Amino acid sequence: MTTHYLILSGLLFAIGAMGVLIRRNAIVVFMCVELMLNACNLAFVTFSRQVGNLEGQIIAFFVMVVAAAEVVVGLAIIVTIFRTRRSASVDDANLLKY
Amino acid sequence: MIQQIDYFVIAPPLVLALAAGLVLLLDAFLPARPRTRGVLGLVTLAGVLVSLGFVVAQAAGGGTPRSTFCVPPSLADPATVQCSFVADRFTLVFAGMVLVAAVVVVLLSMAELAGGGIPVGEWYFLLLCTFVGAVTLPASRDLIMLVVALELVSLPVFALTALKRYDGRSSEAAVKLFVVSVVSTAVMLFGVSLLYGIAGTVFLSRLGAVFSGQVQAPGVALVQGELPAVGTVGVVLVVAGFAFKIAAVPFHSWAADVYQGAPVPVAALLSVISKAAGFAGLILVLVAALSGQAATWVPIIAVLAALTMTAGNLLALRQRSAVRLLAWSSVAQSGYILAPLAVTVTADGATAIGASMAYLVIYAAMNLGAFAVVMLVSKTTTRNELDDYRGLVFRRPAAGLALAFCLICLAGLPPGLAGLFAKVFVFRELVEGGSGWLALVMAVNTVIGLYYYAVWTARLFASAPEPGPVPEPAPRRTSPATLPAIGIAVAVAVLFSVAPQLVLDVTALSAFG
Repeated sequence: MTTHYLILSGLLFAIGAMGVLIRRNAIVVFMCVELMLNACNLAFVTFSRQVGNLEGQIIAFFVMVVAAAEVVVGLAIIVTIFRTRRSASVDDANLLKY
Repeated sequence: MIQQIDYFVIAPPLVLALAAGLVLLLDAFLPARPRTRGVLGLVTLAGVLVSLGFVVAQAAGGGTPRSTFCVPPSLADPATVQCSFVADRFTLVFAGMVLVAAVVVVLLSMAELAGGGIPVGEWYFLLLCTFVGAVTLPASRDLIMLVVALELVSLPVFALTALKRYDGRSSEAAVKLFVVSVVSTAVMLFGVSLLYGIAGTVFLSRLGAVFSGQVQAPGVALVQGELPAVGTVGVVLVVAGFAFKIAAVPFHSWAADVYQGAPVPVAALLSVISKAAGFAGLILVLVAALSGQAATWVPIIAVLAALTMTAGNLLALRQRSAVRLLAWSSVAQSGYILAPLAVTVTADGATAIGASMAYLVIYAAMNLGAFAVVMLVSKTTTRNELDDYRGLVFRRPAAGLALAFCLICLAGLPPGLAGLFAKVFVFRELVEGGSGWLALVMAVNTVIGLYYYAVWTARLFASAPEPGPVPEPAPRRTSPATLPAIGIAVAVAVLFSVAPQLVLDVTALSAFG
């Protein structure tokens, strides 16, 4: 019964991970990370239902807070790099090399 | 019922958090004059010292672990004690080390901020937030606290890296750190969700009981003490998440770019405090929660350790920039710290962890010393390459000799006995634990490491270069705060060289009470 939710969560996580690896725009990469975090939330809530205690739901709240804090810092950083470079592509980050 | 909170136990992170709030308020309400910058730095330093005082007071109060935020006995399963925050010797050693390193980092920040261009209040606030996370993390005994504390260590560091807004390199470093870090957080959380799904609890003590087969798991049944495949996936994902924090091999590539792009105090913070937090979390999860499933993670850790030390050393060989060299060298040192964890099962577990912690403590002292001198030199040169250190011993004898001592310590040669002893502790554990091949890999790596440390040290004593066609930039005013920072780090390293038994006494007994 809860299996379908777990499969969905695994799929979302995989889609997010693929997106992080493939996409080049920093904002899109960032959205994919959010997708991965939400896949974790779905897994936590499902497991919470399955094992019959509330700890999983509590973690889900903390994950949401962490994700929100990451959005704040992450968007600020992306805006900074956009200002100096006029591009939000992660391929253009090439000042630091061997 | 009302939860009783033992405020003495949570005092170290609490003081730091209050100091962080105070710094923000002072920054908002004090007149914006250059003098207020100094005040904010002193408030930060005072907060760190008071917090360190509480840690020392807890350590002096005897070895009995104190805990708070416990599940009340009426609700908990009597088989295991379920507490979220425990101050035992393991916690105190890590917290003490983090706070002493924090003093050095704050002193280095004073020198960095004296140049202007970086908002002072935000800097110290973010710095204190990182310290809160790093002090909370070794005390946390459930997965929620662990994840939140780990995020509290990482998130402010992204902002600290990017705080030099007009420098394209530092924002690029921040993007690299940020993307790798949030991905690793997501990966770790997925692993945590799988572990929770199997064991049905977030408390490490209860997870430990479930995974060693003492308590029936509500989620998935263990077949003859073996984890189902999903559990192995969970363990691997959690280890991967921590491997990013300690810059272990598959997740090491961010290290050099971020260290180079970030301000030098932030690089020092990443290489010591953030790394110590990562190791504390890794040890807690592996030893407190997953010790019953050691067969799954011991080979992973052993291979990670071998790859990490080899990759770090080989990449360090070709570096010309001082900070990049220190970055790869700190990756290699991570491998040495990781190695004893691979023999926690075959050898005596407590002494293996003790060797790991002893190495980490000694590494913190010598690495901070090296970063403090690099900070001093970075104020007088623009590129901060190894050639800029030519003849440093003659130009600035104190700084030059301090750097030479720290580098010799990192290489593990006499007279830098601290580094030598640290390596001997690790070797002994590896050999006694029957992991001879890992000891061999480490021996080869120590020899490789000797080369680049020796090359750098030799430059310190080489004669000063001929003045080239490009005149040297006029030395900017250096803040006096760098010298005490170098002093503290080198004094601790010298102390460990003279009396290594001190470290071993503290760390060997620090198995979880």
